[in-house]
Parts: sequence; structure tokens; C-alpha cells
Amino acid sequence: MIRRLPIAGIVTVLAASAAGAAVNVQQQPDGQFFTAVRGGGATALRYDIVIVGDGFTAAEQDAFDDRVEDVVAALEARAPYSDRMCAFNIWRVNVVSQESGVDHPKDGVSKNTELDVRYGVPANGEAERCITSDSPAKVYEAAAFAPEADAIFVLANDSQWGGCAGDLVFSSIAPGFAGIVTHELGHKIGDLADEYTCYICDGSDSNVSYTGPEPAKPNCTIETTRADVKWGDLIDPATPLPTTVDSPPGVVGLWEGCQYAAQDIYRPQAACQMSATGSPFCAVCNREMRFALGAHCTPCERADTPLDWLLCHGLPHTRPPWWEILHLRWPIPPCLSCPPLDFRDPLEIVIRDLGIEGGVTARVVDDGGKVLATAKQEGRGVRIAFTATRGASYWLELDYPRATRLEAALQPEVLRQGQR
Amino acid sequence: MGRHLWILGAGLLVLAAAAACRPRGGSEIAPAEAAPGATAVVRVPGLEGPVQPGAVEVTVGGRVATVLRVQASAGVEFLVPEHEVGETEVAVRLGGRLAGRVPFRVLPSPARQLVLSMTGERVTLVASRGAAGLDRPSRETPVGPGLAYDVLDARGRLVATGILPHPLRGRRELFEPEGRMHGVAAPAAATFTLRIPAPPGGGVVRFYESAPGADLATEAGRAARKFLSEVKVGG
Repeated sequence: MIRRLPIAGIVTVLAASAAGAAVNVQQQPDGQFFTAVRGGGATALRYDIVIVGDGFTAAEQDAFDDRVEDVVAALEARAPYSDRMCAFNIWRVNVVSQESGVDHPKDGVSKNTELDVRYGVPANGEAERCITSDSPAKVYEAAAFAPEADAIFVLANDSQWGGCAGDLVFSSIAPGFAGIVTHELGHKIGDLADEYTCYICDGSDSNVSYTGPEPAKPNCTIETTRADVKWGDLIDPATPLPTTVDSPPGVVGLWEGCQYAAQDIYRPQAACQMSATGSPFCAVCNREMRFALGAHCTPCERADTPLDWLLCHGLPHTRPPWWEILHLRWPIPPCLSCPPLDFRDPLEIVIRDLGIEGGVTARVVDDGGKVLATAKQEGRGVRIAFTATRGASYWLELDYPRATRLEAALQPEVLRQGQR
Repeated sequence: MGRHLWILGAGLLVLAAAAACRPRGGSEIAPAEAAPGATAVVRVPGLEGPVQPGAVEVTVGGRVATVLRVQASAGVEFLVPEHEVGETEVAVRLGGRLAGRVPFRVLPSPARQLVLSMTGERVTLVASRGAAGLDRPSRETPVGPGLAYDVLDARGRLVATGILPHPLRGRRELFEPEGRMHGVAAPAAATFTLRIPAPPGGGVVRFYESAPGADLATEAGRAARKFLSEVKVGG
């Protein structure tokens, strides 16, 4: 079923430019106007990617679905996304266009599409490969059908290469297009800088020297001594600084050129996803992304170490036949490499399912054994709030009323109080 | 006698209405209140047996919610959909049959996502909606000026402040087929998004241009901003 829905109540359209801009979106069998492609979690926790298409007719919606799967496959194949897919809700909004394909103004090709996506107009000083929309408000309107949008990707149904990114990210579906998604998420999630060494790159700015202060981005620096470099801990003591020899490939050091300047600024490795979409993330960007993505997963979904894994997933499966629990104790945060606690607000530890119907007591204790908070089981789960102090260590303890065989792994989550 | 029958009938109707509003047959929900975008778990009779996820429908005040997980023992986990703030009801249908319903309170969204348009020095509001959280603050970039903003509540008190890459002077990236990329000139007009803490009762967002590398944590840095325009936002 296809409906042209106004979205009053969801989005308040205020500007005349968007008046009457109801977008033609396909209703899914479950009654929704979007599809959860991957993930499934609170939008406050997850990073929400919305993928919309333009120039896909009603008969081509399956093809659009396939291209969305290509994006997901690209994420699943590229570290650190591959082991941090728990970070994402990926939503698909099937926008239905009257005609197939998008506009090519340079060639005089005009298509009646829902989001008015087009290639660039060289006569206006635009690169033809820079795809954009003449009605960006419609793109946001289409994306607003999904529960939340941290990043919006627009796939143009056209096989000619093209891709351009600002707040919205546009790409054609030519082979390799998914690399645009993995690169742009490096900006949006990891707050990473571009590592290429010119901005326009037409020969006019190929030898620019960087003259600004130390960049705040984690993957560019003007420091040249190991102790001052942001990623100094990843540089082998034998690696010369600045670094010019990439043997064996992948040497972490100080490679000249970053953030649109070729001189007097350095990047961590010779090649990186932030300078070429075909390259993997360098070690520094990988570490930054892994940390940033981890903030969108629950501690047990992250499970960075074997001990984490054992605590979160392994015990119910690896216990000896007689193993039953009476008492459990977790460090807080509940995994060794979880992000540090937020000390600004009261924290709340939530376990949704304790594995039995009732009677469990939870408490938070500090490393001196002092009890800071207690809570009784409510329903299947428990919530316990406390305020952390910088420098102290905390433990979550659970007392079961009887020896219990858990049928599922317990998953403690540390949230700001009232967050969920 | 007739009046007594009328009173008895009215009483029965009230009791029936009250019963209809109460959880039926052991249905329960946790938490009993949440904002759009949060998850909640509802338990209803009939989940004990094998249930196909596609056979479960959850509605909040009549609006279909996204079902995230269905577990026989734990219940149905769902995403609270966009809905007006206030008391409503969560209903669960298994295979099209109403299995249970429970009272639920939709809380206000803690944040608002604004869709904004900028031409020259003028910023206008295109659309807004509730959001479940705020954006991760971007680290300042020394490349070009930024678009700074202040969020003021209805009383004019500062609620939040921040900075964005300038939509008309910031980075815009063009991708080449062989994996290379480079920048291109930003457009003369741009549409972009911003998430702000929802000011209770509404408020105003003021936009400023800030110099490259300006330290907006200092009074001097904030005073050096150039005011551009402001937009009104709902609560």
C-alpha cells in the first residue's frame, strides 16, 4: 500500500518552502512507514541511521531495499563497525517516485522524482558528481518517518558515479557507493577530520602549509615529539618522526599532510578511510571510532574482554551442571573497557530481567564495602540509582533468595538517572 | 423503583468502564511512563507459548509501535512511538486478537530536533520534532568560521549553547569514483539540523557567526560573536 501522508503531529512544518511537501512513502506490512533494517533499541542510546531513496518507482522498491542491504553489508565488513553493529538502529524509508532515475541537468535529463535529487550543474560552478536535492526539506520530511535520525543518507537511483556530503549525504548506487557511508560516519560518529592534503584539489591548493593551532580532532596534529602527539602511545619507539617509510605497510607515526593542508600538520598512518574510502580506518581512527560506537551499545553488547564476555554471556552457558547463583557482583562500569562513569548526574543501573520472578536484592557498594544504595526487584528487573564520586570504585551486588539457574545472561546497563 | 434501576445501571456502567481501564488478565508494563524513542516492555497473557514476532502488534494510543523483541518469559519490548504527552493506553495483539492492554503515560521528549534553513545571514525554522537525545558535541575546527547558537527558555534564561560547522562556509565533500575525495564550495543556501534541549514552554534559538578557533567558553569569545538571526521553538 502506498500513501501520501501529511506528517502533522510528527513534524511541524513551518516554512512556506515545505508547505504541502507531503512525501510519498510506502507503508510496510506491519503498518509502519519505515522498516527497522538492523538493530533495535532505544533511540536515545543507539546511533540512528536513516536511509531514503530517490528515483525509485513503486516497482523498484525491492531494488532500493537491496541497495540498503549493501550499505549494511559495507558496515559489517569494515572495522570497527563490524564488531560494533550494536551501536546502530538502521531505518529504511521507502520513498516512491513517479519516474525512475534522477535529474542530469548537464544532459538535459529531468525526472519527476519525490525528493528532487539531481547531479551538479557545471554551468553554475558545480561539479557534476556532486549530487544534491533541490528540496532538502522533503528529504528531512521523509527521514522524519523513522523514529529518529542521527544521520540521513540519500541513495539516488542512478548508476553514474556521484556522491556529495554536507549535513545530508547523497550518493548514487554506482559500485563502491557504500564507502561514502563508511567515511561520512567517521565524521558524524567519531568526529574525525579529513586526512587528505588539499581542499579543492584542482592543483591550486596542493602545497598549503597549516598555520592554525593544534587541531582538536583526534587524528591530526602539529606536535612532532612522541610525548606530545595524541597517538604517541601507538607509535613504535623505533619509528622516525616525521615518518616517511611505510614498511611494512601500516606504520603508525607522523605522516605529513592532514585536514586539507600538505605541510606542517600530520596524520597517523599513510593510508586511512578518512583520506580514501577504499582504505581501512587507521589505528587512531579505529580506536576513536570504537570508543564512540561503544557509547551506543550496552556494556554487555560491547563485551570487550574475555572476562566481560564471560560475565555477560558466558556464565549461563559455561557453568558446570551444578552451578547455580546466589550472589553476583559486578564492577561498575560492568566491563573493563567501558566508558568511564559520568559524574555529573545521578546514575541508574538497570537490569531488565533478573531471571526469576522476585525476591532479588541489589545494592551498590564502594571499594571500602560501604553500601551506597539498595533496591528490591520490581517485576522481572531492578533499577538502582546512586551518585558516583570521581576517584572511587563501585560494585553492583545481587542477592538471590534461592539458588537459581539463569536461563539468560544478565545485562546490567549504566544510565543517567531517568534516561530510560 | 425506576430511579433505583437507573442508578444501578449507571453504577454498573462506571464499574465496567473502570474495569476496561485496568490491566487485564495480568498484563503489566515497565516502565509505566516513557518518552518517544525510549523502550518499554509489556507482558500480556498468551506469550507463554511460541509466538512469531510478526504476529505481535503493539499500539500506543492507537499508534503502531516498533516491536524490538518478543520473549516468552520477559514480554514484548517495543519502541515508544511519537505521541502526544499524557495518559494513554498500550494494547497488544497476538495474531490479530487483543491479548491485553495497560495504562501508559507518554512523557515529553527531552530534546527537539530542528530542521533549519540558512540563506545569507538569516536562519529560518523549517520543521521541528521531539528527539530522544542530543548530538555529540563537535570539536572545534580551525577551518573557517562556525555557526554558534544559544538556546534561551521562555524567560530568556540561557539553557544551552554550542557551535556547528558553518552551513554556508563549512566543509562540503565530493567523492571521486576511485575512493578519493575533496572539498567543494558550499552552497548559497543550506538546510541543516540541530538538536537542542527542549526548553519547557518554548524558547528562542539565537544564531551567531564565530571566528575560526574562537574559545566560546570565555566571555570574550562569546562577546566576539556576531549575531545573525533567531528562531522561536516550541516546548
